[in-house]
Amino acid sequence: MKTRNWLLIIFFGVLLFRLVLAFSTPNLTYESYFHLNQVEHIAETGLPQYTDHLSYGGREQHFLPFFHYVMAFFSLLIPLEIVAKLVPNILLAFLVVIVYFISMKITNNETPSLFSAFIAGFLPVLYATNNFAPQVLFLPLIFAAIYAFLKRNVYLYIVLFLLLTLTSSATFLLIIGFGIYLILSLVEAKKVNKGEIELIIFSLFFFIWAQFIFFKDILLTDGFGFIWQNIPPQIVLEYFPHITIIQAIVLISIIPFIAGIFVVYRTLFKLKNSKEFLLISLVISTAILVWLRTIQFNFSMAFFGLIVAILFAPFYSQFITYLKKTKFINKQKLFSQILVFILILTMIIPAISISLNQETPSPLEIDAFKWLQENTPTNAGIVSSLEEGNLITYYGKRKNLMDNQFGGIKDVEERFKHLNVLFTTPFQTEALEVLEQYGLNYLMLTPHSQERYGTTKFRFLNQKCFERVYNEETRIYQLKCALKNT
Amino acid sequence: MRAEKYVNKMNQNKQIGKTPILKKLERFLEHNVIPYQKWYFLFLVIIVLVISLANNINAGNPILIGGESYFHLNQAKEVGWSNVHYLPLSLIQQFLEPAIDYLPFILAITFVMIFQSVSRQNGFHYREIFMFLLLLILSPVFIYSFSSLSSGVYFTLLVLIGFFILNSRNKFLQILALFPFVLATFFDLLSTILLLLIQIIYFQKYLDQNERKHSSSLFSLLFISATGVLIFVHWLVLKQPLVLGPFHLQQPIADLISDLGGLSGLGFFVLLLSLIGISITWKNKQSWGPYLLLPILIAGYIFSTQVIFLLSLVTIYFASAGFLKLLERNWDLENLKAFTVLLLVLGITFSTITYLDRADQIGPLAGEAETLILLRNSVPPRTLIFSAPESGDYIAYFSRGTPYSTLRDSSQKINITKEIFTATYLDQLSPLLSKEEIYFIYLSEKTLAKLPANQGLPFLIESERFKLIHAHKNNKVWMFKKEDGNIP
Repeated sequence: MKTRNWLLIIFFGVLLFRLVLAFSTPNLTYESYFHLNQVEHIAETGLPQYTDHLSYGGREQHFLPFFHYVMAFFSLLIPLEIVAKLVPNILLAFLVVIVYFISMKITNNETPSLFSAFIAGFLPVLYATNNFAPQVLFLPLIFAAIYAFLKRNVYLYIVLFLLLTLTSSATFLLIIGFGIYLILSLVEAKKVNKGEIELIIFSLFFFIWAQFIFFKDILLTDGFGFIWQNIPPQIVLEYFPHITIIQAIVLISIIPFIAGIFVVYRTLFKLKNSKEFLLISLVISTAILVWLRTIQFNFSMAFFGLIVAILFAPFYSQFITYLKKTKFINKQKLFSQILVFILILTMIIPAISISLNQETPSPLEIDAFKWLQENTPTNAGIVSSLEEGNLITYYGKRKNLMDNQFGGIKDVEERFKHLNVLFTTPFQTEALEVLEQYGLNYLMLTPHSQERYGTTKFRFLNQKCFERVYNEETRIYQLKCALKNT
Repeated sequence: MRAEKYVNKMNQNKQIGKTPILKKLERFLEHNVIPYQKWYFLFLVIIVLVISLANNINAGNPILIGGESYFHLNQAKEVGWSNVHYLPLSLIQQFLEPAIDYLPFILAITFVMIFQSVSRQNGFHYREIFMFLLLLILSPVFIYSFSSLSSGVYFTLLVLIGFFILNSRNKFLQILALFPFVLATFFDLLSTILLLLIQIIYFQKYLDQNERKHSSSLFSLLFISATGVLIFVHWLVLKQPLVLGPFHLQQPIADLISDLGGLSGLGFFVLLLSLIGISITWKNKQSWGPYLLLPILIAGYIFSTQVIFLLSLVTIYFASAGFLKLLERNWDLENLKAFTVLLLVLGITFSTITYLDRADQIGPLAGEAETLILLRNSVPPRTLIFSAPESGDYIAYFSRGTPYSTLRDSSQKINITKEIFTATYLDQLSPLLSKEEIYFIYLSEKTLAKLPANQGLPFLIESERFKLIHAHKNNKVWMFKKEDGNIP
């Protein structure tokens, strides 16, 4: 069968697989609702919602809007609820095609490139199928830009890079990768193409200029601190967990992991292929940025996994070449079949597991958030767990205490502390002080919050001060009293 | 004729671009700008500084900005043997006080004119001078330094005057260059060390080239020895600090990169260009001088960010070399080159405009100055006033009081200041204030914004032991009553 047909089979197979998983899981991941909010706002007004009156009780948002504009465009044609599941999975399925072409560029060999495409399509770490966030556009764009760079297609690269810069600040990963690529080339006395240097210089200056335009105010107030996203120290480990080798292997799958290490070793110390240098430089830059805690763990593993998927192609080529020199020369087909079987076993099952274990709100929880919009005053402030803050603003259209958009919030650590107090304190006075400080008058206790805080109720509640106004799986309480100075 | 001479010289140089737009730009610059760069730069200096000045006047702020300005003004009020170098400023203060506000502006114009003369005398190319001055004048560090009284500026100016005189043809006049060089050593030790290195670089260049510009190598030895001796005199006899200051709360990264909200500094693009310039000029053996100065300036900057002006001169030298190299290099993709040049220009002007936009927030702010002037009428001169250390110089100048602590005080005093700010109970605070004989407390709007309202000094100061005596635009002064309830 022609290679093109195999590629299409893999692409549509991955797409179908992703869509089945996405639509069999209700709703989206918690962080998706912030982006949904922005997409809706753009669809209605044509502009992103940079001044948000609901998040944190009112604040300025700072983000790059290209992803939201793309999704807003699609939402004009298809309902947003479907766009939110359909389009991200189509974009991530396109990685199959992009990885195939990059692998072809490196190896000039179709079979290994198909294997790389297969790995990229079923990489477990990419199976948060219900995640509606800029990463779903960023990953295809960055690999397309890498392909254009390798192919020295200048205009395509420039266009893709411009779009990347407007999608996510993680484009910095590419810039650092380029820097390491130049250093590696210098160390290995390899001449870098003049056009490549010019593209790198242009990329560096454009990226920095774009970041200054969008984040000028936050850079002035927070300095370089904004790179670390202002995550409260109490939960930094959730975003940058200590990862073990076993966990990394599960997320990327063992064969691509081992193949990647082998190719890195061969490239750096023996073969010194400049195209692989660039990919290895990107791996190093990912590692540096993860170590500095400037990019989140899941994202870094996704990027690393895709690079390793690409590097599988040269590994496979070299392995087959080696096999031809041994007595197993006639066993190539058998080897390929065994490989496919192992890949399916080690990738598809973890992928399904990751997809089914995504943290999403249940339909009943969503109903509770929707109830807020119809049954609470418009200036009401609502308490919920951190992850659910975006649901309060999206479904409930009400103010929250905090959510996971930490950038630019000065008292984020204190707010997080107060949020924890509300879910743990047995003292009503303490709780009332916090509620009064932030102008909050409703408390929500969802099954998710109960599980997160290990509690089935707010311990400070009493009937004099709090009235239960919603009583399903989720409970909502209204504040009826206030602290008085004596 | 002069313009033609410049143009002919330009035609011998590399083109900056092949695309039509870059060719037009090059032609325009070389025929219409670079030959008359003296006037264009004067105009640019005036525009940039007038905008900064106008923002401050519009906000009602004092014209001179920065704590260092008021430190020097305070020093000039009481000139003695240890600070005799403040005599000129003291005389201006006494006889021409309104002119002090505009002194930095006049010095900026003088600086640009002398710099161009000295650079041309020392064989720098017109393009190099043009690029250097363009990047310098547009830099936030230039705007800040020439909107305030800055020791870095005076040092540089005196050194430039010294070299200007040294380059004159009259050999008797050349010896007069000693005077500005000697004056330049009176700021701090680091400046004197830098002067010594600059003199070594300068004289070495002429000895290398066997140029008989100066009488003999003895002549150069005279200058270098004088500077060397002065280092020891200032260090051992006058006990000069290594770096004068600090005058503000130092943030090493933000003070270097103005886009991160520091007091001054350079734009991020200029720093990137300087990295390119450092890697390029490394191969040029004649450019060893700045490489000698750079590590010392970096070390000095790490010690104290007051060194930023001097560090920026060397950094901008490399940045201008980097920018010129980018322009003169033949790119494979000429359109990309034009776009990259545009990005650089936009990025550099973006940093300038962003800085000008917030220059009126540096301080002292209108409310601060007015509150302290009002305080002057309520308390006798030299009254001890407690405040955040960064407000110390403003207190000394505007209120004529004595600040309890400044940023240059000993760590013991700074620790007591911190203890007072973070005291949790009145029983803890009152004995401290009584022991240190502090009866007046000044908290500026900026200080109050940084402190938590419901704990520490801002909370305790609401008690009955304190009386609010002045409040203006959220800058407040309290009086601490004695134990017997009497007013001090």
